[in-house]
Amino acid sequence: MILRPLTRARLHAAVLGLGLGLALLVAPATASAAGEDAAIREAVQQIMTEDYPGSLGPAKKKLQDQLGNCLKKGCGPAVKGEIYVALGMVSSQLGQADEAKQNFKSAGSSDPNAKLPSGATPAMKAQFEEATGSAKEAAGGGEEEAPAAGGGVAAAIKLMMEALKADQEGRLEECIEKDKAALKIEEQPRTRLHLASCESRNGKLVDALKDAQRALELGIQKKDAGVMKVARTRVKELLDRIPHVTFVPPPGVQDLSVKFDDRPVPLDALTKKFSVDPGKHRVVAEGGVNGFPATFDEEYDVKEKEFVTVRITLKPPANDYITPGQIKCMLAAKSQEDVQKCLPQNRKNIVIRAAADLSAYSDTNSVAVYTPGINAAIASPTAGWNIGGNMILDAVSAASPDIVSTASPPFEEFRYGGGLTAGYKPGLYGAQGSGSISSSVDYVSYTGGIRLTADLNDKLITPTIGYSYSYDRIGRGPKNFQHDFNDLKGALDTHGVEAGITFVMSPTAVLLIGGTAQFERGDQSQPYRYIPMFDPDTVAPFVPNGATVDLVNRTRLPVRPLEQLPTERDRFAVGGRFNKRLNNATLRIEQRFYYDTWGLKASSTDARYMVDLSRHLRVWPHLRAHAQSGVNFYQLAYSALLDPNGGITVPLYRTGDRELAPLITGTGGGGVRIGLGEPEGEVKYGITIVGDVMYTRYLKALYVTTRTAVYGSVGFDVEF
Amino acid sequence: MRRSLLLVVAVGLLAFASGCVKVAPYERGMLAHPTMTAEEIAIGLDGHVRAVSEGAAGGLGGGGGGCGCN
Repeated sequence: MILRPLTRARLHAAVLGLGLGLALLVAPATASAAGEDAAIREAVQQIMTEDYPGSLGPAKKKLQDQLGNCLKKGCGPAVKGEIYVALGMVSSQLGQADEAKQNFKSAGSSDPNAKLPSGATPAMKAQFEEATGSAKEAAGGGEEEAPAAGGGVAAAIKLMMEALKADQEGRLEECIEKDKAALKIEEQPRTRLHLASCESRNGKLVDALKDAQRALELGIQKKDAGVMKVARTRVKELLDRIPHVTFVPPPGVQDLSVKFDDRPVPLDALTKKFSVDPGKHRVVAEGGVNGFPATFDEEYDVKEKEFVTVRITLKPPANDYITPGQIKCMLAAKSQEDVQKCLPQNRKNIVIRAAADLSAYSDTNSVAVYTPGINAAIASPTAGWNIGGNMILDAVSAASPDIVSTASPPFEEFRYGGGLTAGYKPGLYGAQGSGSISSSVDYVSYTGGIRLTADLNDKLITPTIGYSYSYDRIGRGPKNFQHDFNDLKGALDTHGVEAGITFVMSPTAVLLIGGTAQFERGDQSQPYRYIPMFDPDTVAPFVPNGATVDLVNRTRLPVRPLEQLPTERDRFAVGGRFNKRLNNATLRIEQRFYYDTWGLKASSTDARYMVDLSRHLRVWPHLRAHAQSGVNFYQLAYSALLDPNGGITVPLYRTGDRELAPLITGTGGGGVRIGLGEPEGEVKYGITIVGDVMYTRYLKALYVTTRTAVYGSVGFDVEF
Repeated sequence: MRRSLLLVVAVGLLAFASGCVKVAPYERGMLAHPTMTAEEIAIGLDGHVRAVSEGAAGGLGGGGGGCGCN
């Protein structure tokens, strides 16, 4: 067979005229007017107008049923022929060429006058011709020509056939794809109806409705009664099934934006009714509430025929530290002040924090301390001011082994401590003042200080400087500050100067470097501490480290003066703290170097690795190492000189304080922070538990050479 | 001691130079994490035990700020 290109008009007639032909199929015929024949013919007509355009499978089954009725009731040959022709058309459309030809052959056998309707496809005509051997019998055969193999027509036919096949085999996505491809080549109401059918069964009701409506339009244009009838029915059915969504916007939000499945929804149409497919849908909205960004993000599972009302309620960002809304806000920020506005924790006018903790200490020298404490602060992040205070109570079992005999009985004396702080930082510059007092029966200390700070280089560099003054009174026994001591003893003035700079090194790293200087003036000698003296030649050089009390008492001289320290001490320290955020953890490392005019040098290293195991749980290990030399007047065994007249000469400076001796200390422990409630809630509260074990080795000391201490705290804090 | 001071000064100068590296405001989300504070993190007896058991005192004066969050 020679295939030649078809004109566009012929394409319409050949490929898309199936429905039009149905009228011919069911209308004139040569059938008798018998009632049974009429009923069957009417049923066939209905099948070919309602099912055949979009549902070939059901159409075939119904036609087979009608054929069964026909054979059973002995209907006329014309009706039988019509049924076979209809079955042949359906088979042809389903790509079942052999079956189509068999049906057409049966049609010809039943009714020699059987013929295809005028809108039959070229494939049908060819099959019909082959089956009946009568090309000229095919209606309209003279004016219709075969489709072109290489042109768009052939491709459209092929795609349409593939779509039908996919439909039959349940591959609806492929059916949709093929029908759409066919429609791109040529718009066809029946193909569009078939597309609508596949989309409808695939849950794409909105698309199905659009395509059914488009098919109806085309049917009306072409005056195709079959298409119009089926399309109307389908449109009505889809309108009934399609679910709808509408939105209730939040009041007073000027910059609201709403997205439905990532597609923007026009604000002026929010309250209208939107047709949507059944299934899951996501609604995301953003806008400013009281000047701060807030979001709405919800998913809905919409059922067929359902009408869903989405009430948009903008909430503060739900994440602990940063959210997509905050990131977007920050991206739009042009300065650090703009960034601050993106952070919800800064939005409250007043923030109140309160905490209580209980600490305990115990060591191998039989010293135990219990310290309950409370603190509270009120701050206004927006106005920049803050005030706060704290109180603690120390209950101590004993001081140290070498002075315990003259100290108070265990837990009969307490140290009370308290402090107040207040600050004001309305912008880039601020000041913080503080005052504190510590009081026990034989020791009081008063401290006051001020610190100034500035935010430079868009808060990437923050220098601070500070000054503090302390006045200490050291007594012996209850309230015995003035009576038992002269002016030189028991009074200590300390002037402190501090300076530091914090650098933002990267988006995940902060470095603080700083230093302090303290200038102590006064006698801070311990009034309970007696210093044993030894013969300089025969005993002192041989006193061992850690000599027992018994050995010291047996070998020391009768004289036993009180401790005497120099009355001036200048202390200097410099160091750095580096914080690095690594995914869900923060590494904090500190290093300090220390030197003073008593000759003590020290190095302290401290590290924590704080891991956020969840939004509510943070744990960390803690390590600390400290090493120091002794002060330059420190001796393991001091010597006293006796002169022949009975006089005695003792060293000017002498101490038994092991913390002024060379020592090394290692500390290991950790902590856990449990956030209770929701971190983004109005009230935040949590529990912090820390504990450490500290081991100290004294390299040059009487009585004690090592000490192991255990201490820890349990704290509860709340912020609202 | 002089060597230590020189080291600290060198680190300081390096840090100062690094501080000039621009970190855009929107890149500072991590810095707002509570564990990134430049202030000391210690509760309970931690500080008191150090003050009593170590002969050294002072150190990092002037911690604070810089995180870009407050």
